[in-house]
Amino acid sequence: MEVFIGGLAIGSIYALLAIGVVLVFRATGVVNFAQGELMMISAYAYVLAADRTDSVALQLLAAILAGAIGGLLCYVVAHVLLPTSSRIGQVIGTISLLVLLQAVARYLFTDIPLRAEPWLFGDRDVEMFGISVAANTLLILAVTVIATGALFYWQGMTVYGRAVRAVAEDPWRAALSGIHVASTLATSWAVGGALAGIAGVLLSPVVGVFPTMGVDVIFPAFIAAVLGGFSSILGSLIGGLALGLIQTYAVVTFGGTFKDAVMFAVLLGVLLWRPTGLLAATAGRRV
Amino acid sequence: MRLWSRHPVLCVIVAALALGSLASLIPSYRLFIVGQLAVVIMVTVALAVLMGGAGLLSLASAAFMAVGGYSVIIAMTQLHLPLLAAVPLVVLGGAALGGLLGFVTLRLAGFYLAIATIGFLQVLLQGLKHGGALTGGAYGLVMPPLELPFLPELSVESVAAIAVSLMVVTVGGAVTTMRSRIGRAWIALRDNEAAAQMQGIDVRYMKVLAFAFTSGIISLAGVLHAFLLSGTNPSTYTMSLSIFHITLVVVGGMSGSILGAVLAPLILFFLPETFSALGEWRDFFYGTILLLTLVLMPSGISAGIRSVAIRLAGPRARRV
Amino acid sequence: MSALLEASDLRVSFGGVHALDGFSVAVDEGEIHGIIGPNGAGKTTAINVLTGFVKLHGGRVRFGGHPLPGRPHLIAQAGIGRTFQSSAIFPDLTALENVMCGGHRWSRTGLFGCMVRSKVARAEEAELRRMASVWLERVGFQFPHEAPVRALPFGEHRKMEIARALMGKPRLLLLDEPTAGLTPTEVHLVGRLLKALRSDSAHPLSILLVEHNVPFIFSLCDRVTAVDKGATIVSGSPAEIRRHGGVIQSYLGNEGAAEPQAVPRRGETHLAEGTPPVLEMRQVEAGYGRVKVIRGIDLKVGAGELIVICGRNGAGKSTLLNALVGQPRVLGGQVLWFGERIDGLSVSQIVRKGLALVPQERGIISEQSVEANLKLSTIGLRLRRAEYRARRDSLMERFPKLWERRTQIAGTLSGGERQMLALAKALIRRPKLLVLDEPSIGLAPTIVEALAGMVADICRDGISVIVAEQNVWWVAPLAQRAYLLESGKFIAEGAPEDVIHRERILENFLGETDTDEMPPELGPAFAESPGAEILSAQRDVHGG
Ligand SMILES: Nc1ncnc2c1ncn2[C@@H]1O[C@H](COP(=O)(O)OP(=O)(O)OP(=O)(O)O)[C@@H](O)[C@H]1O
Ligand SMILES: [Mg+2]
Repeated sequence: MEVFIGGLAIGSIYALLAIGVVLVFRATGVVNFAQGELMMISAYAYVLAADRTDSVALQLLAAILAGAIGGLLCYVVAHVLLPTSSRIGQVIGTISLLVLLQAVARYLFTDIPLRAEPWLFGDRDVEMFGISVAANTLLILAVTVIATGALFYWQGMTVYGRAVRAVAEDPWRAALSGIHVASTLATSWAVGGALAGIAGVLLSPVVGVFPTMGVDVIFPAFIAAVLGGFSSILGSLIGGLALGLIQTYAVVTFGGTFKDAVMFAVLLGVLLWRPTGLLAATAGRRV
Repeated sequence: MRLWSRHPVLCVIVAALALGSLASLIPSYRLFIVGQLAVVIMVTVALAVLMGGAGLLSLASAAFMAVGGYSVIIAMTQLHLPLLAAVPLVVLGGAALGGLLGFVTLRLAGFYLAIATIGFLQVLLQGLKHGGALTGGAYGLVMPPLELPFLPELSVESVAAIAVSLMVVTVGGAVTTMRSRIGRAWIALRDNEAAAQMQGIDVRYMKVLAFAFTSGIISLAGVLHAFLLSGTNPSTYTMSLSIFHITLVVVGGMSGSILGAVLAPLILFFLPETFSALGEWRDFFYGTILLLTLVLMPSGISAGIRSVAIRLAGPRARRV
Repeated sequence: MSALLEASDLRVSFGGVHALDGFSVAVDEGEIHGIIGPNGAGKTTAINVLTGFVKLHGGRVRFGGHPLPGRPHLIAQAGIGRTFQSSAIFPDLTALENVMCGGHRWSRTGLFGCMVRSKVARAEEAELRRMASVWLERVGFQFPHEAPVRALPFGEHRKMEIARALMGKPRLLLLDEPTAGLTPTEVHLVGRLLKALRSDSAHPLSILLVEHNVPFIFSLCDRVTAVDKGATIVSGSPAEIRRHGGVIQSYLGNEGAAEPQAVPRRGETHLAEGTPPVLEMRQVEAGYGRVKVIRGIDLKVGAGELIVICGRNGAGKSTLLNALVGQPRVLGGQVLWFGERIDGLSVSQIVRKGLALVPQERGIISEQSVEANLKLSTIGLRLRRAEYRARRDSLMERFPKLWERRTQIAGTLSGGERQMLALAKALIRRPKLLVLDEPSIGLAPTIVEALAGMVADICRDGISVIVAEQNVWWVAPLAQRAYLLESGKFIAEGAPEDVIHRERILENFLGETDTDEMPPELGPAFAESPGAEILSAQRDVHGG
């Protein structure tokens, strides 16, 4: 049971990152490789804020703001500096941001991890179904589920979500429908960054804060997103949680060395079975 | 120009020999980097054909380099094959494996394909790390002495010169292929699969062929890489290496043009490598050049050069 | 003699929609066979079935006495070539290379031969090259063969596609609306080409074509098959079809006999004193990159006015209309909206002011449903739900076919249905100025008639309309003014009949028809080939 909850907690982090990636992808068609770095800068913002203020709200705000600003930076690079005609060029643009942000972090903070305070509930545990679970773990789960729910509503149920999809499909046609393209894009990047901020806050007490903390989790996040169909928010949540569980159980059963192999084997299996992920929307195309 | 279109093989061989012998004039500590540059160019050219040409996004380049490096050593030490037999065998094996990967992933497209190829790479890497004596585990394998019929012991310098020659051959082959009916078929299926099929193009066969062709080249590059480094180490063949290759292709230009694929490594590999004294600034340097080239030449180096050429030569400039 | 192609009782359904429901057709050796039918009747689906892109749920197809192979490329290799309703070119290849791809079917060089460019490979390549340029010439392709094709005018794409299909030496050629977007001269040329191909004894060819251009199909075809709701109604000679009651009712309509009337005609100008015009363009220049495609455009549109812009392919019509909403950017001059400058605003800002553009490539969001498309178009209007419903329902009365398809993903609609959706999307915003780029392409005659009536209604409500068209017959009688665009400039302006007359003369002069003397009234403006400038513009943008 503890393994199960632990797996879910790791999975939540993956899910949050994956949802951030998916959100941006839905709106722009760009796969953001720098999402992990956005999480990294928010984590730094979080610990730096914790040094200066005791207010949890301010600390959170700092982290989320840092993420959102990072997201806007990505927007500037991918949509203002680079032409939107080449999606893959934009993706490589986010890779260049990844490299640069990491280099800056290494320059400012060196490779030595900073410690982040376990937040809100400290080390307290709660008794549940006869076992004790770290309160913060439950908090991670709750935050993830709530954030996913809110985004799911925003993207899936409102006209705004449709507009986002329309912009991703074809900015020119979307604009002809009266949709403000630039602000739609920027909003999506900022929200995606803010999600990375939340992930940073949740992850930093667990592993510490260091320049490469982002790249370590970005590929599991991508895989979670792919498992979920890469354009579905709910799918990413499920994909993330499933991946967390698979990883933890793989460690328990086969030991740490085969963790990655198991994860990728699952990925390959799923993709060969369903080439567009588990929960992909099947958009109609015809000749 | 006439000569090239009539007798490309002759031209390529002459150029290969010329560049190869020119390379051996370079001071030896430099030659090592030049050899590596040749390897990177070969991989980039292959990926430019696969991604830019056929539109198949693959992150398995590191995997095929590993396949080349490991299997050539295994062929020589465990199967006791002579060098000249081992290399072609390895290249063919790499092509076959690439074709198999292409076949298995036929139904996948775009980013899904990219992620699946990452999966392939990771599973392969785990296999190499835990392959026991066959793969040397975490330490990898050491290259046996390299012998050719008339050259008892190949030095790293001569390997580098050979790499340069083979790179020229690869580039020549890629250019002729891209400008032939097969290259056109690849571009056609990338641009519009349905319309390509109506031209009688067997899309599945062409995709598998693209994977096989390029994987063969990348395996050869992997062989040369292992020669240069006198061995293999699993920690070389990471996902970041694959991502680096893709970056080179995109910076070079995704139009299936080979010119950019040759030039991009010069800017993004040779330059940072040459200024390795930069130390901790190296990443800054690399990231900045990357961003700058993307901003200045958004559709790639080949397109950038073409537009400059047109401006200089007037509207009659042909495709570079 | 047995038929070359025999399809009987074909059935296909998508979800609940029966796209084909008892479709039959037989094409004889050396025959030109036409298919007509309303939008969404299943014509394109039939062609997709015959080329293996859509799986058959029932029925039988035999080609040359054998069943069809299962996959498209095998069908192509068996000798069936086709073009697509929305052009399917390879944008990164040159025109010549595009056509050379068509020869893939019979060229044989393998990978190794290609790589070392063996003697056989070189010979084959030279033959491909030679044949491709011959075909490009024969279809009347107007641009240099080495031209990058991405931004060529629509009509050139169509011609190139026909050349590409012919390159494969097919026994049967399937053409899906081959003349959509072509000028009358070009249509004439294509018709002549198809007739010549049929009687080319060295290489017998049968043709099956889908068309909405009724005169074209009736003058060209040996036999015509009419379909409706997925089923063949009747098959026979053009004369029989023309008289067939069911066909007249479901498809042909009155063929423009009853002109929608009651639009204020020329003379009743709406440019009222004192109030600024809805739209005014002053010396507008626009283009791609540094090259200007349109120059010195002056245009005034009053409330409720209907204005027609005509001109041949590549004259700059689409560029002009798209520049109105700011893409491409206006490089010089001013665009005024009720006296206020709007050049420089973003597309969505201009749209929200009340200017609705239906572009030539149809502004629909193809990954979302029909209903979602409409909903999206009301963004920024802050409509109440009831108001939205009212607008939607009144539109759906005009397009009942669309309402049946409201949950369908827009990308799977038929060509004509997409067109209707694009119109509905523009109208639901209740714009003050409606701009239509070649709206009649791909619409059945009955629908074009309905469109004319609708445009008349819209103008009566005080909304202004600008229509760019090559097939002006349906809108000319309604319009107050017409402009003739050539090489990016207006060269004639005035009453629609006069302008159209001049256009005909120009067409005849530029197309290689019987007129052999340049009409004196056309000044030196036509000295240069119209495509040349746009082409050099593209070279600069895309690299020559
Ligand atoms: N993939 C699909 N999913 C659902 N419905 C489809 C799909 N493809 C076609 N349809 C429907 O089948 C019907 C026939 O379409 P088709 O494209 O064959 O019409 P068409 O006769 O070519 O019309 P047009 O003249 O407008 O081009 C249409 O109503 C269309 O909406
Ligand atoms: Mg159709």
